[in-house]
Amino acid sequence: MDTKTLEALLLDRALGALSPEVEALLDAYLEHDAVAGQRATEFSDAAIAARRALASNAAADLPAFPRQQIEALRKTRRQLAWVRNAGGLAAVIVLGITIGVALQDAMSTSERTTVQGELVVVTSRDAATSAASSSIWSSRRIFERLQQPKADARNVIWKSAVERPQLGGA
Amino acid sequence: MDDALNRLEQLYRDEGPSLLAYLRRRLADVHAAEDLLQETFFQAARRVERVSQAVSPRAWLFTIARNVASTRLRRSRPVQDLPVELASSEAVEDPRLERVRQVIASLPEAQRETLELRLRDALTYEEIANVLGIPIGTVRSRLHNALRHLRSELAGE
Repeated sequence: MDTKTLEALLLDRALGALSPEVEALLDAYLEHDAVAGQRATEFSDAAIAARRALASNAAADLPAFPRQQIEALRKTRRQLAWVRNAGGLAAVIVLGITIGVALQDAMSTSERTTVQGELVVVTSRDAATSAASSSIWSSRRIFERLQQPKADARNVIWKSAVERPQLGGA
Repeated sequence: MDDALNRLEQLYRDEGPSLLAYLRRRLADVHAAEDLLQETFFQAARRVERVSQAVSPRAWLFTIARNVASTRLRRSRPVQDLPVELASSEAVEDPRLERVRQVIASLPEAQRETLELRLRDALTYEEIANVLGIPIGTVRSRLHNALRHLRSELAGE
């Protein structure tokens, strides 16, 4: 065994960090190596002296476990967590409502009409139309939409590059 | 959750004295150490579910205690730097122990703290590594250097 490894083992032995099996093997080895044995004794003596020197001679008077304070602390934390979650949920709901109202307003002031083919025309909505009946999901609007597409639809007919394109029926 | 709290209370009974001694050493102030022991367990209670997850609850509590003590020391550096026991009455009775204490006190702080955690608090190398946030190899080399120094100083008497 090389000196460096042996010394590390002797130090671990003195510090009580070896497993019983390794310690037994090392002890058996030390019986045949007087120099290493002497060194092992010195390390062990130093460790024992350090243990004694470090041993606390003042008996620790342990205060009572602060169970009530800890329970109060945990209760407060649970309440805070609840408030935080409820606040977050409320904020999401308010945000959702705000976005919904803004979208509804935007849809009620303008309408996007698509002519089949190439053209997209944006026209003002009749001011007389009520907001409720013009909302995107209103039954009246859906009904009108279903009724009108054939009449409103236009196709651009462009037969040749040298002829003018013409509008045709659906 | 109450099981976790009961477990924490059990840990307080088992590890409280060691933690209190450790904090007294760090702070050199008995009352401050008691305050910080409670603070340690308040902080542990905030993460009480980790008690069952921790590989070594003992090392986990020591880590919290060390952080709590470091924070306190940063805020108000104590007048005394040496561990409380260095000035104990036993030192007067046993001159050799007094010499050992002096040698330990002369060690670099990192080595001294590591040695104390091993020899006084009986933490394993792995637990010390967790508490100090350093590799096990570093723990081992610190302990070896400290003990080598101690042996050579005591042999030179």
